[in-house]
Amino acid sequence: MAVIAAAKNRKRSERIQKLVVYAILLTGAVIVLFPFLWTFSTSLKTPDQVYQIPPRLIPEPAAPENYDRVLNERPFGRWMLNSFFVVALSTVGTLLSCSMTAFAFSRLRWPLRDKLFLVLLATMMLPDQVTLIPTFIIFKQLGWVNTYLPITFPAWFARNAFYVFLLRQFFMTIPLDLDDAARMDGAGHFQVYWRIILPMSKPALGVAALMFAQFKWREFLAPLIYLNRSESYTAAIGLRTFMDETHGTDWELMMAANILFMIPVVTVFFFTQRYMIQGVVITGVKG
Amino acid sequence: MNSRFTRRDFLKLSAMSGLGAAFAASPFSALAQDMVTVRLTAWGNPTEFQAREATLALFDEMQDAIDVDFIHIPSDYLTKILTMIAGGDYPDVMFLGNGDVIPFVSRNQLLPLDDFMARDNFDTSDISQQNLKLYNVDGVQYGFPVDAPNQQLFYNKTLFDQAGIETPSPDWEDDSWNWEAFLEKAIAVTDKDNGIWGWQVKTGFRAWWIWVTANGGEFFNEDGTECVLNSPEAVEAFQFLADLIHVHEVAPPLDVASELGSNELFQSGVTAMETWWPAIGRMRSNIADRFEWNVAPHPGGKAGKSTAGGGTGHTISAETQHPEEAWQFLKFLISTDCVSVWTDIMGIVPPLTSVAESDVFLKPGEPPADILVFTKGNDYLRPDPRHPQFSQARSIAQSQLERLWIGGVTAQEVADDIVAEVNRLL
Amino acid sequence: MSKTPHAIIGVGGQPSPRLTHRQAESLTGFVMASPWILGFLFFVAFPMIASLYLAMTRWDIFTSPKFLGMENFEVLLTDDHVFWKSMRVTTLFAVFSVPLQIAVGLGLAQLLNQKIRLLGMFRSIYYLPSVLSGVSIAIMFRWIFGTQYGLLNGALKLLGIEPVSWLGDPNIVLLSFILMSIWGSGANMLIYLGALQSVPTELYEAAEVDGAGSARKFFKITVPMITPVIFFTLINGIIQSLQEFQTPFILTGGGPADSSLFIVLYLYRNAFQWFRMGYASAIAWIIFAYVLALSLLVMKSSRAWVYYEGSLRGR
Repeated sequence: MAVIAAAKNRKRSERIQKLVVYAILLTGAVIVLFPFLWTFSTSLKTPDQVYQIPPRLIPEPAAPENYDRVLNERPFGRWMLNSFFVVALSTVGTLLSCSMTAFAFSRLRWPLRDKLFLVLLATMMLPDQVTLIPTFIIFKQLGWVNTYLPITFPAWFARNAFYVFLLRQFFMTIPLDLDDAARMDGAGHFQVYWRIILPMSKPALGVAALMFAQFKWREFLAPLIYLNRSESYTAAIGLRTFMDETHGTDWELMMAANILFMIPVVTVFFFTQRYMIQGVVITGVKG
Repeated sequence: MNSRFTRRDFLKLSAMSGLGAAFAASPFSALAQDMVTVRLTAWGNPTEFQAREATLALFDEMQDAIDVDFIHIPSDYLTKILTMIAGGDYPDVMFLGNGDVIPFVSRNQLLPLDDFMARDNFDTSDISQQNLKLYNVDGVQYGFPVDAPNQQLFYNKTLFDQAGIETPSPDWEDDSWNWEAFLEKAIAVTDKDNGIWGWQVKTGFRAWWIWVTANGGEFFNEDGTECVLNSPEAVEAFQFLADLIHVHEVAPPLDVASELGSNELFQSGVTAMETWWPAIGRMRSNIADRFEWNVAPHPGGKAGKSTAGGGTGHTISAETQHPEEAWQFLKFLISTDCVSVWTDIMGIVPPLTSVAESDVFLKPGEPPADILVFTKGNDYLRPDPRHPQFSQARSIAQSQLERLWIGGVTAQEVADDIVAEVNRLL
Repeated sequence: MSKTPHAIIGVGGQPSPRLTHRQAESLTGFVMASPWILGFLFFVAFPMIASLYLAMTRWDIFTSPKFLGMENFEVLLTDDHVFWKSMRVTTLFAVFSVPLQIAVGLGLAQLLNQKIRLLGMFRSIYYLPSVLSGVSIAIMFRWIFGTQYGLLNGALKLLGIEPVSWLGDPNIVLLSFILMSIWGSGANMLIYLGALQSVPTELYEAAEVDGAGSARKFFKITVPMITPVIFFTLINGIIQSLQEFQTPFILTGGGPADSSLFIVLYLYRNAFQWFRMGYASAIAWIIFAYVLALSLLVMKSSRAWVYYEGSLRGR
């Protein structure tokens, strides 16, 4: 009897524990999600409703024309396209240059390899600010200020060493026998890279592409410095032009623009979150 | 508060930079082979953007040799154009605040206009001499003003009438309109239960510069070797303004103001008086007939009355590839035709006396009734200090003064800190 | 689980390739690594040297640089109290936000590391802020932190609490930044989640036999077992938080009265608003030295608290 009662008790306390866990998780989820909901709600409000006290969550009447105005009264659509262009161009560059470098660091033997890899690890710790000013001057000398080159070109030279590291970690899990077999058949190193390693690394490449694209989408300091003409802004810096200290920010437009800015990222995240999360788990565990 | 300002109007006007881009990519510029493109950089709120478009359209109509590529830079203007210049991407004609002329000249970034002016026998007699002088450094002319604004005190006549108080005197020579009288009125018209504030302490440089100079304070000493903002006169002015927020509570705290848009409080009927520049066109359409309003000089301090401003102008970049075309364009910008169009839309005091005296500016029957306060104000104008380090010194002062506006420190402490920090720079 | 640095770098156990191909392989290795090598030379090594030189000059970009020696560093370290203020702001932020993000992330990971419904959904929700971090989150929070119309004060009002000036009060503004950073703890959570799943279940079973409660299990087994990951997030967090720029740039611009002037913001001001490139370069090097010093300190301390598989330390 006593044993059964104890088991029952334990079951009950487990159930209560579960309930507490759910309560905490749900509260946390509300705290995380509510700002987004609030942003969305503000984006559909008329100016009077924005400043209504007490505030209301559901706009009445809704003002979907805010989105229209964001796209028509400011070149926000163009800024989004600019961003897509920058992201696409530099993501391709990063994937190619980083995977090639990662291949060299993981599957080929060459002098200085291990020393250079230490250097590569060290550059991951270097704050960007140290190189910011001279890099600006180099690009200025090249006449590249006010072009997209300063924010896309370095990607083709594995400037973001983290992705070399990420891909190398993955490449090292692929059995070396595969390379040897291919080379027996007369394939060169480059062909091994292109025909065997890359196709086998699609998940890792996907994760790298997603992480990099996200980072690039919201990149702020470099576009802020290099792009000075409003028609060439990326969406991330275009967003800020909605903030107007002196004349007051039109919060409903600001938030509509913000929602538009978030949509591509959230959509991609929604469809790929399993890979993304997997990717973070893999890369996070680098000691 | 029954009146909510309409932010809708604010953006309705603005086609913003999308049009600027379309303008640059206009197919006509590609067709006309001999056309030279002159690149113009300017900032601009929606009203200014509209005025810009109208004047450029006029220029387009008047000639077919020069095509203007308008580069609209809505925010961080100075950082952006300096970065452009540093990057070798030179604009030909630059819209520039009068306070920035000295720093630009000291870096040899502006083209002297004297040769062009002599060659063309260019007549400057109609241009307001005070404002023309702002673009003149050591006898060399570097640009022309686009306007001749000075900041005045705007007041909500309806609120004054409701409170049964007499409105401020529009007479520049009326000595009874002093700080004491101002404080009295500000207290009387404040009605916190209904969310009405008598005054708004604006944090912009010129908004407090008026009070400092009215009291006899200065930014730099005469040879520009030292900052003197901690003089008793300046400190008294700072403390007076800070007390309006913290002691007399006739002006809203900063965070309340900035959340609403610090320049919208007056237009939305929240404050009864404010400092503002004469971009009256926008004020007229924003306020419409929600309340009556008018302008007056700021109250006089120990050194009498004062006003700040001086406005903006057009200059030519020293590195321009098309000096001749840029000069032609600059001449157009100061022409009566162009200034009239600009003034009509902006409602700003024009730099040409002929236009200032015409109905284009005066617009009889429309507010403010005492519009001549602006014209007369030019005699009391105290422009921004002319010093190569001014922009940096100003940003130091601004950031220190924020402490004062927020509260908890005395004006003396803050002013001493400003002086110590600015002097280190000089 | 984590590996020691040697395990990462060595390719270990690779069969020795044919010697005749050795040179070809070396060459290919260089060629294939050359994007990074070139990128490193042009975008890292050379700019670093140039930056060190610039740090010893006065230069406004438009006129030629003037050599000053160590003067910039001297002024910065002894005379520029805005610089010190920005160091203090940045350090305070890091000291609070990094550990709090770790604690909250670990707590969430622990909660999610059990059989519960909708696990995937919760994981995604908590990770969402990290996907979007940056401008859009900062803009969102500017609206949430509003004094009169902000969501946060609206919620506090329901609890009868007076409105707080989240971004307007110099004594509170940093707290607002810290709160905001905690809101984004999801990135850490995910990393810990991965680590938690690799803690061998036998350890817990053994502890249960010994009669250990869940709190005891958490602190005696879970935490020590994942210390390498905590270590990683700590270093990473320090590096990130010392380089904070976008958020203060958008939320406050450094104000009020420089109370949220993060060091990189001060660097930006000097470099791109005042065009004091030399001075700004000196700031950059001080940031670098500071990041390095703090990281080394943490690494040194890690011997005392980080548990590596195969050793008995830390148990």
